[in-house]
Amino acid sequence: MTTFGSTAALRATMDAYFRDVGAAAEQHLAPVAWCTSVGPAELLRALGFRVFFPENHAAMMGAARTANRYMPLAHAHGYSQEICSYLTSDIGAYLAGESPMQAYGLSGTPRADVLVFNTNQCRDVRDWFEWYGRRWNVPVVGMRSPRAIETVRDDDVDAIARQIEALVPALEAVAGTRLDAGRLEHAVRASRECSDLWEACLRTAARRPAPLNFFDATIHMGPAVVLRGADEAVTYYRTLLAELEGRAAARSAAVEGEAFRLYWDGMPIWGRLRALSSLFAEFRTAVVASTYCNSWIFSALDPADPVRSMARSSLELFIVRSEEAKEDYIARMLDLYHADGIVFHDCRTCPNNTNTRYGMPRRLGERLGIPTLVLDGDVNDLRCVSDEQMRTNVEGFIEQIADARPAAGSAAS
Amino acid sequence: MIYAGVDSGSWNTKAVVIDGGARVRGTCVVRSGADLAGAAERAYDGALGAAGLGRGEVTAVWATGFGRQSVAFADGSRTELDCHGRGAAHYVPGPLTVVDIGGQDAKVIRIDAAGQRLSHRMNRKCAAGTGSFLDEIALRLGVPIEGLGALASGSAEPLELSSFCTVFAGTELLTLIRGGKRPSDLAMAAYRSLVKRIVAMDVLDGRVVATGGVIAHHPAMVALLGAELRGEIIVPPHPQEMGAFGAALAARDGAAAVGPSAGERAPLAAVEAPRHA
Amino acid sequence: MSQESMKLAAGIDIGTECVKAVVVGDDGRVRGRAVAPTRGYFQTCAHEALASACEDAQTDPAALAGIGTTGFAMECVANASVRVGDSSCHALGAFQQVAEPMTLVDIGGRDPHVIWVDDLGRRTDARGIRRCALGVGSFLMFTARHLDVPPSRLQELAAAAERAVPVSSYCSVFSAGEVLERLREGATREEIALGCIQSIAERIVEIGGFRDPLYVCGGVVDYFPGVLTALQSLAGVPVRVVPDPIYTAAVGAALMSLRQGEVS
Repeated sequence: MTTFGSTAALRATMDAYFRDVGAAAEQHLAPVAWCTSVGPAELLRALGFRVFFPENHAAMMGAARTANRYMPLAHAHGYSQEICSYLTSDIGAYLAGESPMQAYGLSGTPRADVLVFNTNQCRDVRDWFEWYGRRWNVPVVGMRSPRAIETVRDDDVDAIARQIEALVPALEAVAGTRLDAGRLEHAVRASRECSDLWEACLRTAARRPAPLNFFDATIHMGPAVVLRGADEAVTYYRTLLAELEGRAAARSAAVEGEAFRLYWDGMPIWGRLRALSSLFAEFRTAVVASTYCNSWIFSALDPADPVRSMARSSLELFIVRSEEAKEDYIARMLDLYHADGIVFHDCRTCPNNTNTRYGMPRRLGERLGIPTLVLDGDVNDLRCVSDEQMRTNVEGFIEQIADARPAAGSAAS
Repeated sequence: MIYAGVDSGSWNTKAVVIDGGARVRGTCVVRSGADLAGAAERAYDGALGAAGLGRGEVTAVWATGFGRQSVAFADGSRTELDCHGRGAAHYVPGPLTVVDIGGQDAKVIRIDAAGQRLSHRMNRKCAAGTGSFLDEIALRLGVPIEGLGALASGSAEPLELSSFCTVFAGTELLTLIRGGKRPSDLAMAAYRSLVKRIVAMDVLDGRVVATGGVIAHHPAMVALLGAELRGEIIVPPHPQEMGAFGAALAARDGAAAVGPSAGERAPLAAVEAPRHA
Repeated sequence: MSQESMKLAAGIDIGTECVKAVVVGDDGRVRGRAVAPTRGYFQTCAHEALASACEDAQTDPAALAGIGTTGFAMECVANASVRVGDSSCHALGAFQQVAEPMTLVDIGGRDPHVIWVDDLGRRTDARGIRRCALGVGSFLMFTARHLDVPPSRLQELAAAAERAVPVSSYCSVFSAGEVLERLREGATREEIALGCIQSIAERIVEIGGFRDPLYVCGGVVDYFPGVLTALQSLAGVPVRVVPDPIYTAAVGAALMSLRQGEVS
């Protein structure tokens, strides 16, 4: 993984965020809402909630490789091995009475006063929240999204906007305050600013050599995930962007001797993040862009029209789009980032973030004339990951790309 | 000039010695066991012995296969995806599809007219479609694995095993035995099931070339694969040693190693270790 | 009660790895036992196991009041007087030995089960493990082959390990293949053997619903007591073993046969 000067600021930002949410929950300083990663975070912030994102929480357990200890506990409660391993990691950890939050001096996962989902990613987020809703006897509310959208139409936006508006009374009741239009506008403005800065950070990887890669980006996107709509995220990405632009100007590479550039589609494999980063680096390969990190870019957000623009950005998201729209998107990204091939992660327990199961790798490979690779694995469940197969698959793929080049990479000694 | 390749597989380690014209001078297959490095040494010396040559006469030796990083004496390495493709393409002009069935994995490698690899597929983290499937079946039928083909040749009634899963198929087989089915028909059903699993891995177009230990030792597989694909299956010389042969070709041709060529690489899981939770 | 007036029945449990046969008296005591590997035709294996169990009990098969069969191939014994599903037999067999309601974990060669047993020795519920993790017997066999030892030596290796190296795939056959990866990374055979035995316990704990008292039966704990140690550390409740664990279902089948005799 690349070492960035901004890492200290990242740590401080995340640290302060976790302590703040934890304190709100444990000392009842402010109402706490749980929100799915692309739920209506701006609305929750405008109502004064401290917002907690359990997907981020689960990813931390995946990265720390504690998830595999927790998942069996959820399986034993009837939550299958075949469903979202974020869900089973998180519920398992709760049953074990453990949480990565304990490293921040908190007693555990912060207890929610309300749980707010958006089914634009999957049904599992809702099932996940309902488990806690029943346990804590708190309301579970959310947005029910259409899926496989070709082009986002106004009537779809209207429908989602109405759903967001319908959430307001329930959320106001929990927050004990009325929604203030000015605060919502501010949150949407901050969220859009965060999104634009994050996009600019990622875009620096279009340069050769790329100053950051996918694996770095999954770490540095923390504030965009958990502090969307808050000023701290904006502050952090100003710092990061300045550093990345400096690195790009200085031609400082994330992967030394960058010879190959790939696009990653699908979830990260959190328990093998560092390992995969080193593996690709061994082959002088930079994974320069990803669907995953791009999914926190919400360019439709507009402070002049907060609710409708929130609705639109939730519907424009890659994961809710049709196969054709997704393929067009990836094609644009390959062009933008000058990628030599695509790595698709077939994530065993996350069908909605997996794009290998309906023929896309073959279609895109033929349409664009580029090689594609499918890696079998999982976001958190390492029982679905074979290190040996992963290594052979990656190494074999890069051999293939290298051999196809007229003046192949490095000369044999 | 003499070149060599060593294919360190999960069950067997294979070595091939060739000359500059890619003629095979010696081969050797040994059990990999728990000591991959030792098996590589034995296989290499065995192949050299068969060729009547010594290590000093070898210009370059490359390694491939699951244990390619454990072959201390190798001058370079390439994946088995590359070496099986490279070896098969030496004998058969492209476009072609190589079907390689080993003890622990199955691969489908597609190669274009110019001999360039187009794509590959490997089995997922599941033993379905691999040689271990046949091992389980032989055990259940109470015959040594070497005897499975002979047993199947007496098959008269076509039976189907519905499960690809090695463990499930084992039980399904027991159910059929319980129902009085003949072992010869069950052995053939096992081959048929394995073939069905393989053809579902990818589109097998162009000339289809079959390699690997399972192909070498179970000729029934070739006939069934041909019947399933309604076409001829080409079995090149020394199919089990094809990976090692491809590695020897890579040594001869000086294929560019894409990664570090010497020294053990850290296991992926261990790379994670320094990370602090 | 004299030997002459004692009513004897046999129970045969025909599993995918082994056939277990017992001869049980109407006092519930086990008089004879035998195990034979399941290979080739079931009828032959069952017949051999029954003959050995009768010999062990010093009784003539013709003197048996009945034969109860259970297990995968329970249909294969033509002269059986009763055939009963294996979880009910496990429940009754274990209850006969321990005389209390329990959570019963059966770890056999193929599909481990958790069976909940009431105060009359009846099964009230049962659950199995994830399908890909089936085949405990095959898993241990393939593991042993990769480690170059007979399966019977795995336990000995595991007992000598200071730590376990995790082996964790869903597929039990593929897991065995992971053994080679671990070896190449420098793990010892002992550490891997322990890891494999622990992984069986982990898959079982995933079934869940364990309540005290928890008992274990089935052949695996006889041959691989390490599974028990691992289960003990993961289950959260004390783990006890039903006496003669490999014969539990066979005992249950024999008792079912005796009971049937009482009714008619």
